[in-house]
Amino acid sequence: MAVNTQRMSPSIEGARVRRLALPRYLRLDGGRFLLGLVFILCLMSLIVLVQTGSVATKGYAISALEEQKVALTRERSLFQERVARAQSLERIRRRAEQLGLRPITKDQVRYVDLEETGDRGQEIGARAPSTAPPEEP
Amino acid sequence: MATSSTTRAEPRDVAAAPVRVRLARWRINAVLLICLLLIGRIVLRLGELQIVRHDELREQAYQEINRQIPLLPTRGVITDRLGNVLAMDVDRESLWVIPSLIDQDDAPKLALTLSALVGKRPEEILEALTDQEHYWLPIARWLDPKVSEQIETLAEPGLRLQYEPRRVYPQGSLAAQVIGAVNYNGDGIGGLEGFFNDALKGVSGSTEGQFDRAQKPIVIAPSRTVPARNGVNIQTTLDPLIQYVIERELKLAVEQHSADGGSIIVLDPRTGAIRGMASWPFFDPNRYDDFPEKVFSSNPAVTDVYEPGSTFKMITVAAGLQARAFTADTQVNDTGVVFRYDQSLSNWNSGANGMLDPQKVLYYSSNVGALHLNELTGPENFHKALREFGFGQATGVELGGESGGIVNSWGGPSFNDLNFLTNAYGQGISASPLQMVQAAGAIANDGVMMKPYIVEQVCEADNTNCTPTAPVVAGRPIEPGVAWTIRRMLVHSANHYAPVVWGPVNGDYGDQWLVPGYEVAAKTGTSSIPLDGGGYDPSYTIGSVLGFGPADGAHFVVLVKIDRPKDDIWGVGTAIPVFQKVMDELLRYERIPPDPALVSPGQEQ
Repeated sequence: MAVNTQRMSPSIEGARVRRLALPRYLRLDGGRFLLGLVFILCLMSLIVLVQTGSVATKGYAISALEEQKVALTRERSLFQERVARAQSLERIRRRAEQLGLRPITKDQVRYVDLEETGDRGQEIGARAPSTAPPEEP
Repeated sequence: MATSSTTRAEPRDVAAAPVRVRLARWRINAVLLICLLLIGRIVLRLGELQIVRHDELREQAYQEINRQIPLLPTRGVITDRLGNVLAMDVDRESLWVIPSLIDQDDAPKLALTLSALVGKRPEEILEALTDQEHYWLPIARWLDPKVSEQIETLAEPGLRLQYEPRRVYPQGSLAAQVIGAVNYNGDGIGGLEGFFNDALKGVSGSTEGQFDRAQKPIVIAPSRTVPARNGVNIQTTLDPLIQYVIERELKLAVEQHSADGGSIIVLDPRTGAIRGMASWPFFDPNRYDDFPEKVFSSNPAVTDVYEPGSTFKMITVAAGLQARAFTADTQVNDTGVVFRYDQSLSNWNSGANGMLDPQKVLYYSSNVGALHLNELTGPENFHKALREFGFGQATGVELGGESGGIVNSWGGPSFNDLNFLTNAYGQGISASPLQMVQAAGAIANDGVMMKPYIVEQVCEADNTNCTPTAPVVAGRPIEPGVAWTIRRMLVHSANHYAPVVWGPVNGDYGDQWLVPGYEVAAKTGTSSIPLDGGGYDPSYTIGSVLGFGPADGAHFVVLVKIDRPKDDIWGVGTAIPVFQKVMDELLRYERIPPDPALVSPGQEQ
């Protein structure tokens, strides 16, 4: 059986020694529990911190959205006001006159009593009844 | 032990061991001492802050971040029957100044700039800008959005723009007396704004919690919010076109006759819904304080009373017919003048009309004839009828300050026989215009008198859960047959006054249809105006017309009242043209087809 008798390089040998010595450092006896507790506390603190940060961020986002809502509500009410002003009959009359419209005169009005004539008229979109005689089959 | 030392020795052979530095002991002690001192200082400071000054600092912190911020409700919207907005709340920016942040050298220039933008005197603005006694002063409230934008572009550090709710009346003076106004404290004054102030205003809420410097809530802190409850929305019975027409005609009539004022009311006698109500002078509720208090705080159509004059004769005839004191064929002798209780009572021209039946009493508007009819009816029956027609008591309409009128009732302390006789032609009795319309509505509606109302429905703020107003029968003062008889009489009466309108048009000054195509019932009246010291105003009167159309199955009762016209003291001349124009437009607007048989020669157009 061939045996390599060549010595390992000093750096590799050092690493090996350190690896072998590692458990010695981890042997903390009672201290390991303390460290564990600190770790858990840190973790919990971190969770709380992240959660609080997240809530605060969302809170400011809500606040910003509420401000936006108020601004939009104000804008909407301004538009409603403009619509309401535009519905003023005096304004409509002036606008109609600007467009060249004039009030209807009495002789331009025709009253048609549909119930008495029995003619219910033609529905919008319906085809007019044909006056041509029916075609021969 | 040997193994251990061998193991420890191996690394030393293969790798360089860290060089151990030995610090002098005193240096370590010195560092520890400094740390201890620092820690001690921190502990002391913590103790001071957390224990000694705990209560004080906690209070201070709470004051800074704990706030109760009020949540203001939005005042409800008022609309007409078609949903057009008559009154609404809009947030507008108001301009405030912090004088300490204003560069005093530039203040005069800034005052001039602001003056041009907000429409105030520069001296007034400069006074606010240079006031060093106050931290925060208002300059202008409720700016137009465009003006606010221009002020923002000035980027002046001492100027602040803050939103405030502003009551806006987009239709201006339309139906202003009915709607009322809202004062600077947000309370309604007059009209629906005043009557429904609490309901329209809503209930304030609040948010209690922690807020940062920018007034933003700190969400992670506990908070308690009581939301504001917005005011209710009110839909009125007013029809926009009818309101527009009566206001236009009232304005024209007042200007034409240089009158002091006037009122027009349009009521649907089938339900009691008020379709239009206008009184001159008008006012713009957007700037109500530019007008006298009497103008913006009262609604003369409801709050003021007047002696109805000859329009009251229809009630006189109704009372007698209902009491079976006389019939439609009963004749009374109109001698022009009669003497009762040492007083001379006469017709308007003291002229005699001879034997008259009740129809002719109305036709000629005979005071003496009405007086005779009242004598036949007797005070007990007459005042019973007045009570059933609603005189002497408020109608109960949803408008503030309504007057019930003045009736010297039979059996009461102020009753006297002479007064009873003059009541026959509408003197010595006072009624509000709305009371007159309500009473005429009973004649138009086959004897069923409906209670007038102005609110179609009241809805929650989000327009859900609406409560409509149900029409209420206020009484049945006369039988349907009596109502029909009086309606026929009033058609003749209306046609008798038609020549005032149509005579100049067709040259015919005889009786003709007042509103061509329709049977309209009406009675004119000229009311004397009582003076404070007793007696009547010798110079001026109130001209009025009370009627309805169509005569059978009426859709509208209309009262036109013109106060103190300067060019014509008779109601016929001042009020009948307005009544005719209004009724003509209303009947066409209601799409009631005219009857070609009811058109007199020369009335075709």
